Amino acid sequence: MEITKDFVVEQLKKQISNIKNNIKEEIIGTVIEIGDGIAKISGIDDAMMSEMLEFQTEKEKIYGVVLNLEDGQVGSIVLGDYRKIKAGDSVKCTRKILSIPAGENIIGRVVNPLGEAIDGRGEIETDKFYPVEKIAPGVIERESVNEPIQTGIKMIDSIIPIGKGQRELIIGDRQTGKTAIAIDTIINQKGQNVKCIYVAIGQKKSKIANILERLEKSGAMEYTTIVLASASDPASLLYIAPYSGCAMAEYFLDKGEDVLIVYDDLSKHAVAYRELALLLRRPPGREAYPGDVFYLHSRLLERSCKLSKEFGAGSITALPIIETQASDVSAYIPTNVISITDGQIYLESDLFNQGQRPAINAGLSVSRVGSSAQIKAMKHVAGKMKLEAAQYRELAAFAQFGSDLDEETKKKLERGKRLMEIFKQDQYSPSNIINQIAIFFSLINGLLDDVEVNKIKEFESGLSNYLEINGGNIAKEIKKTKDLNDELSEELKQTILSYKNSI
Amino acid sequence: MQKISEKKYALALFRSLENKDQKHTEEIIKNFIILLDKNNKLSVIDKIIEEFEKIHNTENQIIDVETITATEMNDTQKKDVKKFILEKTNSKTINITHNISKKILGGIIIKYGDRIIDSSIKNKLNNLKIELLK
Repeated sequence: MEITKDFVVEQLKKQISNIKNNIKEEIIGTVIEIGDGIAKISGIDDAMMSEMLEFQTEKEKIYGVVLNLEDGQVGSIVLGDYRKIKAGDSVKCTRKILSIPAGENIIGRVVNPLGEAIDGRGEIETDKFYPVEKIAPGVIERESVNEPIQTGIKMIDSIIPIGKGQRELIIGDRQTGKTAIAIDTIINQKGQNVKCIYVAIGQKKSKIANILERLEKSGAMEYTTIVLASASDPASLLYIAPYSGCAMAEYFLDKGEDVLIVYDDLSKHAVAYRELALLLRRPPGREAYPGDVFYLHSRLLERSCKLSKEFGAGSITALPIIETQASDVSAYIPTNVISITDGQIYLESDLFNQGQRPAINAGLSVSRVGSSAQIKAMKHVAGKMKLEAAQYRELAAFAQFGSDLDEETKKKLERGKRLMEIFKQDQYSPSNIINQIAIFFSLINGLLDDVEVNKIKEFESGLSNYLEINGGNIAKEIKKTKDLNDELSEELKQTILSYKNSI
Repeated sequence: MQKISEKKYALALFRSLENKDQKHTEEIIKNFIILLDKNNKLSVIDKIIEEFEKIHNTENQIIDVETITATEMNDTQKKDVKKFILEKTNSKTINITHNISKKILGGIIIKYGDRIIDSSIKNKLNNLKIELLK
C-alpha cells in the first residue's frame, strides 16, 4: 500500500514539473455589447481580421471570430451560446486564425463545425489543426480534371460526367431529390479509396439522423464524415460549417488522397451569412445580401482542386447544393453559384412528378469539364447518348400532335423512350460502370429495340446478373484498359445476345 | 453635414492647446466650451475629456498602470515593477496605482493599456488545473 502511495505522489510530481507555467503578456478587451450572436468588443486595438477570440465567462471559455475591425471597437461572431456572455466580460486575443482539428480519426464521425464530436461516441483525438480559411491552391499546383468520379447514377455518369477535382452544382426546388443524388454518390464511393465529407448546413437533425442511418447501412460511414450545423445552431456556426468541412478535406488532400465533399445547402449558408452581415451593420445589397456574398462562395469552391503529381496528386471534388424557390434559377444566389461551378445538375419537380427519377433535366444540366472526365469505354458509348436524348426530347414534343410519322422518326422515338427508361433509377441503388456500359452499349447498338419499354428494367437487372456470371473477362478488360476496342465490343455484343436468347 | 465625433473634438482641442502658455490656454478652453454649447455637445463632455486624456497620454508617452498584489509591496519591489514597465513599453512617464486583493493569493498582476501580465498564484493554479484535467 505504502509503495503505491509513493508511486502516485511521484507520478503527480513528475507531471506537475512537466507543466510549464509560461507567463505571457496578454491582450485583453471588454465586451461592450452582446446580442444575436454578435459581440462588440472594445480595447483590443491590434486584433487581426478573422482572429480567434476567447470570451472568458464565469464557467467556460467561448470562442469567437473577428469579422469587423472598426474605429475603437471590434465586431465578432460568437461560436457557441452567446447568452452566457455578459457585457463587461473580458475577451482575450489568441493571435491565431480559427483552426479546427483534422486527421484520420474524424472519419466515420458526426462533428460540429468546430470539430467537436456530437455523435456521443467520445472525444476525437487528433494532433493536427487546419485553418478554417485558407487560400486555394494556385495555378502551378493544379492539373486539369482528367479522372472520373463515378456517381453510380447512369444519367450523370453518361451525359453529365463529373471528374475528380470538379465542382458540380446540384440545383432544384425542394423535394426534387437533390440530397438523394449526393448521398447516392457517397454510397457509390465504397471501395474507390475516396474520402467523403457531408456538410449539412441548416438541416433538420431528423434528416441527418436518416442519412446517417442510411450511410451506416450501406457501409459508407467507413470513409465518411458528417459535419453538422443544424437549423437550431447559431448563424455563426452555419457560416463556418462549409469552410471547416473543407479544412478537414484539405488534410486528406495534403496526403495526396481524393476527397468528395457535399455542401448541403449553400442557399441556407448565404442566408446565415446575410443574418450575420446585417447584425454587424454591413450595408445590404440585392435581396439584402451583403456585397461580398459572391466572394463568400467563390473562395469556398475555389478550394476544390485537382493537384498535379508533383504536389501529391490529391483532389477535392465538391458537390454544392442550391435550393431554388419555384424553379427560379435567376435569383441572386443560384446565378452566383452557377457561374462559380464547373456545371450544374438541374432537377425539376415536373419530371419528378412524372416519375422520371432522378428528375434530371438533361437539356439544362451540363458539365463544363465534359468527356475528359470519362474513361474511354464510357466515352465510346455515351458520346451518342447526349445526341440521342436531345433528339428524343425534340421529337417527343413534336409527336404530341399525333400526326403521321415516318419510319425513321418512329424509330428514334421508340429508342428515346427506352433511353428514358434506362435513365430511371431507384434511390440508394448505384449502378457500377460495367453495367452502365453494357446497358448503354445495348441501346446504341439497337439490341433493345425489340424489348418492350416496360420490360427494360427487368432486362437491365437480368443483364447485370448475367454479366456477373458470364462476363468476367469483359469486366476485367474494361477495368484494365479502360477502353472498349473492336474486339471487346464484339465480345460484349455476343454476351448480350446470348443473354437475350436465354430469356 | 457629417456629425463631429467626440474624438474629433478632443483632438481639435489638443492640437489648439499645443505649445500655448497659461493665458492662451484659458481663453481657448473658454472658447471651446462656448462651441460645445452652440453645437449642443455639452452633454457628452465626459466622453470628450476621456478622449482628450487618451490623446494626451499617447502624445506624451504616458501610460496608466495598475498593479494588483496580495500584500503591500515594499519600495524596492515597487521600483523594480516601475523599471520593468518602463523598459517593456518604451514610455517616458507612468502613473502607477497599486491595488491589493487577497483573491489572487500571491504573485502580481500588471495591467496597462489593453495588455495584461497575469503572474498571480491563482492564475497559475488555474492553468495547472486545466493541464491536469487534460
